[in-house]
Amino acid sequence: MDQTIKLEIYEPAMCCASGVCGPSVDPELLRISSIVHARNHNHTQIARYNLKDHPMRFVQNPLVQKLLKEKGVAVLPLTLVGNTVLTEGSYPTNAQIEEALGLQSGQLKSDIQSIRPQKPKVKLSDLKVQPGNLKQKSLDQGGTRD
Amino acid sequence: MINARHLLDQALTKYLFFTGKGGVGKTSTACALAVNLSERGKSVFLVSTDPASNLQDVFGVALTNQGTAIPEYPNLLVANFEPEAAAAAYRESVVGPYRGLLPEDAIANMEEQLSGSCTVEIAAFNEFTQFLTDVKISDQFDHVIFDTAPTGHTLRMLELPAAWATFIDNNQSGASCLGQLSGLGEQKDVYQRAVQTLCDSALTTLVLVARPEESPLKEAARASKELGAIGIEHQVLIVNGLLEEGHDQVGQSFTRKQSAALEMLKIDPLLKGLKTYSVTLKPFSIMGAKALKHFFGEMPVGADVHEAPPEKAVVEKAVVEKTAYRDLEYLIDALHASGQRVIFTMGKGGVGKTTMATAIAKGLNARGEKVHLTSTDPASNLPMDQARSDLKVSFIDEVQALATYKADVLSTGLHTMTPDELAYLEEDLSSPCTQEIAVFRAFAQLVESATDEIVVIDTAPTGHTLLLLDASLSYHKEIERSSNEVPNAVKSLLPKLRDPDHTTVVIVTIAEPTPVHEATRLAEDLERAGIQAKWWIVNSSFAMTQTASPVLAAKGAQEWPWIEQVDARSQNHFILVPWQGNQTD
Repeated sequence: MDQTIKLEIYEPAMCCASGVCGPSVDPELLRISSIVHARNHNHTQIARYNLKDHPMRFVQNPLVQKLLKEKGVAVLPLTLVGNTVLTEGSYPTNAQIEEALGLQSGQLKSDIQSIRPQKPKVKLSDLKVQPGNLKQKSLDQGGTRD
Repeated sequence: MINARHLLDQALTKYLFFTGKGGVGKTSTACALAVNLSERGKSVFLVSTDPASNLQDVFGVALTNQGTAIPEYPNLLVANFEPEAAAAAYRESVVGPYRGLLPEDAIANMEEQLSGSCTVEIAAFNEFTQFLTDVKISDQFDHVIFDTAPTGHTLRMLELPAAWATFIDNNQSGASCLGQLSGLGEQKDVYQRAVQTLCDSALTTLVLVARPEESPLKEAARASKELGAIGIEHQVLIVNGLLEEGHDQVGQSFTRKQSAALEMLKIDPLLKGLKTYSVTLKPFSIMGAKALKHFFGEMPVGADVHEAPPEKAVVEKAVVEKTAYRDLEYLIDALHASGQRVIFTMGKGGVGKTTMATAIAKGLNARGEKVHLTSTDPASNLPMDQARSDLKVSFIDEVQALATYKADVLSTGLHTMTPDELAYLEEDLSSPCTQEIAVFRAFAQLVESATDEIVVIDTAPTGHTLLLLDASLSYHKEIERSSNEVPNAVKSLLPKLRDPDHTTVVIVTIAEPTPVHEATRLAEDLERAGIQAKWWIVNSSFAMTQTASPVLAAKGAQEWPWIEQVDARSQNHFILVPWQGNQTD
């Protein structure tokens, strides 16, 4: 394992990092994506391994391989700090990550702030979304039968 | 419109990409162009992604993904590769080494994520890039002709910095569907060279192929805009399958419909500006050297002045007994008897899903059922004015469904994501998969609220989408805990879809090579997701019209092998619907 990597996240195979190809977007996935990106910006401390893109990692780590064999993919996402399991089947909270990396409470939030520009690129108001997307037409009042 | 034979006399660019809806005639046109150019002394490399079985019939030789010489044409080399096979090979190369090392459900998880149309798109793009950037090929050949083209989505995705970031081994960004490109070595450079060639008007022409029908012309306009926006600006349009003489009522109805569709060429701002060529509908099937030479309707170089054009396909079943084949009423009776509550009509665009869904809905209603007909087609095609209390009609606006979903997603990500990530997310949100999911979500809500009605809908998600949804639900526990009612609707719909007593999928196709191939793929994909497509509808059959118009009758005669294929594939659970002049898609 890389010297600077303190936290490893082992994830199930996904079509895309954002997970938008699900019934609704998993806010956890987005949270983790931005935390990892922001924290690793200066020094890489968190590693993310995806079953589709980095299967070798799952086989090379004896602890991960053992847990996968015992519990199947339900054990993913699996996070490790060294040889200790931090979470099974879910992503760690911000507090858990800060503790694992030895950071001050709230550090992750300021990581994100520091790399985010002042104005977001896309505003919701640009999307011009109307509530409700089903137009139902039914004549409840006296339709004639043919 | 100029007759397409004039293309042969022009100075054409070195690279020609053909694009257009499935079944419009890209392969036929590309092959015919390749053959005729080679006869004129040009050295031509033809790259086809058409299923090998078809192309072998067209040329009469076995083909591989390396160039194969064609005996009758000394200046022609043909390569055939199947993106699906390439994607499968890629998938196996990723997953194969881990069988036995990882548990089965992990292997299944990996496989499914590598089984979408995106993986196939990337496999195809991989091959295009090889041919586009190979110096030996560009030196040796006057023309390199491709009978397909990369999609706008694929090209845009590859432009995003975030897409390439995953190849840097510091594990910053997580998953990517571009894993296959890692096999290319200096991927980004090769890709950039390929794109530069594509966008160079002196080097590349995009040939948009359409039929004189509304749906393919709309698709041509869409592709023109999308690929033009990326920078592929040298474009021409070929309208294939023009019938000049109607002869009888069916024929005249057909030519009228074509003329009406062609009005689009005068109105649509994009199509208007394109140099447009036409190819007439042939009474012979486009198989074999002779047919290809005569495709552009002129005497080929060096041909015997008395050489006759190809024979019409042998008409084995000259007279169709209408009662020999089951019709729509039979199908509706069967659906009624089955007691199913959700009925999908499914098939590629333009085959008649909406028309069939409407007919089924009305038919069930006439048999005393409460029905809710739902469509994703713009309202003009739905019988809104015929709705009544026991026959509801709803329209799912695809554009709005996607916008709602995008807003949902972006509002979650807006405060925490960087511009790079947002850009990647936005492109992910423009993918065909996301569009499908957005519509499926809307549909799930509708089914949830339909209590005692049969729901008939004219579209269906692919098997891959359903499996992704499935996977997502099991892995992302947040969604299970979520109070958002949409995922709950999706969650309760998925098992219903797999219950054959509850749901049935009716596949709609037409009796032509590519549509049947595409419909077969859709059916297989659904089967992977555990959904049986029990019934098939062969729509718009000319064989069933008993027309005397010679070209249309020949077209009808060519349908039989495909009807037989559908018969076999559906285990005789199919019906034939004749072509009707007033049927809109």
